[in-house]
Amino acid sequence: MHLVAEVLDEQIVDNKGRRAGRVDGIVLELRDGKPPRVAYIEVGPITLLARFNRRLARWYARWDERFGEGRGVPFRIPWTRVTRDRDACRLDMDADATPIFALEDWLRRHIVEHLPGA
Amino acid sequence: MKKVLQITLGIVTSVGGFLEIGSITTAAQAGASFGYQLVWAIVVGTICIAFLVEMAGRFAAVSKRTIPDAMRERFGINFFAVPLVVMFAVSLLVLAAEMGGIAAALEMATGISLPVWAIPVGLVAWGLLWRATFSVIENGVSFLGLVTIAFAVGAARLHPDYGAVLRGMAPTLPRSNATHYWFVAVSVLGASISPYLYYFYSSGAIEEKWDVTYLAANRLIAGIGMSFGGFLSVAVLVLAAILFHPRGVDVQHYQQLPGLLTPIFGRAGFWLVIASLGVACLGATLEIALAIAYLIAQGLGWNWGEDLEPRDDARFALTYTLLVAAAALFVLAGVDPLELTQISMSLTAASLPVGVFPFLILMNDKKYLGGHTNGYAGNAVVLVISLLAAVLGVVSIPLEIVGG
Amino acid sequence: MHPSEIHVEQILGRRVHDAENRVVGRLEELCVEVVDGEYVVTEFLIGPEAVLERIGGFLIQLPLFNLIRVHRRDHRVPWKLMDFADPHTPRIRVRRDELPRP
Repeated sequence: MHLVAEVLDEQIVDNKGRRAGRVDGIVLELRDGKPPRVAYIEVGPITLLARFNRRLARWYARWDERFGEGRGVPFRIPWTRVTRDRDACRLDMDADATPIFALEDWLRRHIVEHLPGA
Repeated sequence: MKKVLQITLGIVTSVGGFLEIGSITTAAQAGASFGYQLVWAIVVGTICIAFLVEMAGRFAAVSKRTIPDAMRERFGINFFAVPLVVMFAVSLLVLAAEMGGIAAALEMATGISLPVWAIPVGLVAWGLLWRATFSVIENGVSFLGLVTIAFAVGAARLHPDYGAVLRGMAPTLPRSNATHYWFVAVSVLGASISPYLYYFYSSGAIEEKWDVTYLAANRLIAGIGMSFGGFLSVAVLVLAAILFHPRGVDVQHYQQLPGLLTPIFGRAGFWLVIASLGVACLGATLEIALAIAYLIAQGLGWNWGEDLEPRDDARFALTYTLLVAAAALFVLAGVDPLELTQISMSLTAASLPVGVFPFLILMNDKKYLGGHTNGYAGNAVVLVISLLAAVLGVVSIPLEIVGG
Repeated sequence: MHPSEIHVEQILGRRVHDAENRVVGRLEELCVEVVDGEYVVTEFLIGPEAVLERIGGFLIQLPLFNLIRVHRRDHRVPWKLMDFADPHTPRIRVRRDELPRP
């Protein structure tokens, strides 16, 4: 398996079949005397922005803290919860249980639902 | 039987949705300034977009991905950011021009000045995107767009020298005013080969759940739909060539556009042009707003879909909302739609390779298309024409600016 | 003292130097296999460093251009030879001419 061509930037689909972001980052665990292990994938704007500019990512992280507990840091999913198939990376969890839809939910509650006909 | 219906529908929506302020004004300017000399530019542009649209449909049907999906996956975010930003910026200008086109039509119909229409037009466009489903937008507005056939009827009524029109299909060098000739040629190419068109088409194919069984239908829709659309552009050029060119009249103001049909249909001709401009630009407004929102949503992996309720794809829905609002600001500021159209069409041409080259790489990638990768002809046509448009654009735009 | 984890997306595209500080190329891909139930990186692929070569590498994928035969100087580096003591400058532990031939 090739990490860059087949995992990084792939679409993620949760266990309800919803599009839940993309693989924005991959974390390898380095170990003495053993090959690096694929440990986590990271999803979210903090990780994505860090690929362009560290400062931008930190600025976004500070803004993100306001969304609640445990926010303001890159969101990690253990690699064991991910299955790669032809079209996407399948997550064996419900994305609602993660911060992935946090911005989406916030926008829905505070803006979209107040507009007529949503 | 269902497929036949779908093909017919697809062709009709392609024809009805082909003309918009870009193709109407650039064809009118080409005919007014250079007679039949620039018919080749419309033909070349139409051939290129027909190939691109067919490729976009085939890509979506076989790989089950939209173009932005695949561009992010295949090239990574750092590379993808370039076409994303460039296409976002250029398409936003085109969006503003189209909304300006609706406002211009309303101004000519009512006498109420252009900037006043910014907010009503914005609200109507937003309302349609917010509440309507994909098929209502795609089919409904495009059906209305068939009113643009009036241009073809009008042109036929003038009994043009068809031989001269055909001769115009062969590229010729300008006899005079070379800078302006190439600038108009570039804006015609940019009006025909709009990236938002084939990007939107690939998202549409996914919205409508196309698969390999749709490949033949896709070829028919792309080929026949785009050809008829291009034919309508030529009709506009012919009208301008016969009615404006002999009098040495250049098309500088949108108020001149009704003059394309009034000598033939009288007062009815005025209303036909107003209706054509208004409806065609409305259709384009909806498509471009969706195309940019698709580009961002798919590139970032958001949930998206015009058939979803806004509550189920809040980020996607708010993205197109902000886009319509931003474009409306241009109209509110009183930016002249004709000038904005010229600029945005030329920029579209000059920036074509940014979107087309990565797409061509995808179209030849067996991992996405299996046995359905591009043929030699398709590759050659699109590569050459997009390079041509870009080179012409990069050279002629500065010259035109310098020349005033 | 070396980090216990590295980010693939951060090391991607970085210049890789050899034991004598000469440039080998830029990190392009990581090959993963399942070993004892774990997904581990077995090889690192290093591609050309020069800007022109990289642009050429992109253009060569375009149709018609891909008829031009180009010899790419890639290196496949086994995981044991990669050194991530400094994640911003990945290194290989040997001289570049000691690497397995591409």
